[in-house]
Amino acid sequence: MTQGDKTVLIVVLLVVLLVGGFIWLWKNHSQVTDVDVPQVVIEVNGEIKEQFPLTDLEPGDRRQIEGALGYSVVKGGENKVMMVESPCPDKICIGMGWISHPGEAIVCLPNRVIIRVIGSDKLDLDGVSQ
Amino acid sequence: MRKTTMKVAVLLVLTVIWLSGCKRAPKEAHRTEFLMDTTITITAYGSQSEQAVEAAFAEMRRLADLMNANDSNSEVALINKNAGLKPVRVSPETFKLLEMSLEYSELSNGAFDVTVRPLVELWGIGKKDKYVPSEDEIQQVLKLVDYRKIILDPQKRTVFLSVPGMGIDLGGVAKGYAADQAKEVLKKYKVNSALIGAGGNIWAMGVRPDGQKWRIGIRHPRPETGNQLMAVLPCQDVTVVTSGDYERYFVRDGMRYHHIFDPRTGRPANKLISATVVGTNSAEADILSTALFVLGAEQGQTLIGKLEHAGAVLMTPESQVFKAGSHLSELELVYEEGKTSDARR
Repeated sequence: MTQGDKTVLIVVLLVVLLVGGFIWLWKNHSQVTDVDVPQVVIEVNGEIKEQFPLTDLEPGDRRQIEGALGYSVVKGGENKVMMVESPCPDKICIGMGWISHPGEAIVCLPNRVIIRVIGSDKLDLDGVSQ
Repeated sequence: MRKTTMKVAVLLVLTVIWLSGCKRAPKEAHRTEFLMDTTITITAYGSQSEQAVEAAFAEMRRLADLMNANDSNSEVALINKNAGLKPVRVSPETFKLLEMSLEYSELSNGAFDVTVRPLVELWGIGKKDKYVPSEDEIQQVLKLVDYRKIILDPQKRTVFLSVPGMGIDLGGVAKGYAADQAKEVLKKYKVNSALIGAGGNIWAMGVRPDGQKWRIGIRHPRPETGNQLMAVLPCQDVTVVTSGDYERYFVRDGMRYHHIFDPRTGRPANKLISATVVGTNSAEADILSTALFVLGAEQGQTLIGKLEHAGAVLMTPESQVFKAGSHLSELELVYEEGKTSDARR
């Protein structure tokens, strides 16, 4: 191996380590934001309208969602969320109470609104049978 | 530069790329649609996941059009319209589901019965305003509720409701069947990891993309007790279906009236507040969850015991939980005891 060969090898090694390190950092970073904090997803008619960390919703905070019939309103609690107002006739969505675990969802069929919690927590749910 | 150096350099680069996990993750496709009076959500993983989900929804839309009793163009509506008049020729899918329904009506001694439609219309839960029919009205309508009065002709593939005024409703089985068919479509597109949710009927296909088992929660039927969940089931390649008295209901004079009727009494079934079935056929699990809900804990466990390939988790109004059958060895009960006070309401 000549001196030139060695230099090339060292440069290649350095570049590779640097790029590899960045990829590793980026992957871990995105895992922290994606998985560790449960997110609230608001869907209307199957389309995602809003997504934010559950912790963004302070106790008492309210958010309005425009659905097929009118406005649904969700309220935040201690790391949980529930439906408090809905233009639907049966108000089943309000009766569902609080949700907080990823995998749980509140569905309001008449107003075409779905509130879901995604991400992961100690229960680590993928879905809920109800 | 010598060839060997070049080789070493290339090898080095490849190794680091491999170590940093640059292999292609399975592509995720996720979609929700409103179908069959509920929401259907599919999350699928695989190289053709997008096309797979598209095709699965197309199939479910087709089935919804055939089987929705409230759509006057559906086969089911046509069968109902011709009650007491003449047999109606139907698609193989509708015929197969009716055959299956009758089989389980027999097996459950009529606890599951697709001819409950006149009862559903009489009570109008979720439509009429807290209406409780009189005993007389109920007895009149009960004369029309009897699965033995459906006449199937496998040769001609026809369905005949033999008494005028009879009506069938496949609501207790069609969602499960649609989920089964969606699963088959996903398989054709080489998806082997997916979660299908059809209004609380869940199909957990394969395992999660990270290789772990799926974790499916079972909703606690009384969230006002402070419990959102009753149990968690780690599972793979099973379907989980729950029937509860909390989906469509009203409370009048302290009594809860809900949408799952006992076809024998004509009133909302009251022996259980939640019945979950775990199995490998979602149409069957859908039927069974309704049948068990009506039968109650004791007879329900006997029925599950006869079947061998399904499991059940049942909760009584006194919030006692019963487990029976297969697929439940890893079930975790997660609710807090003593928090349920007045479960009947």
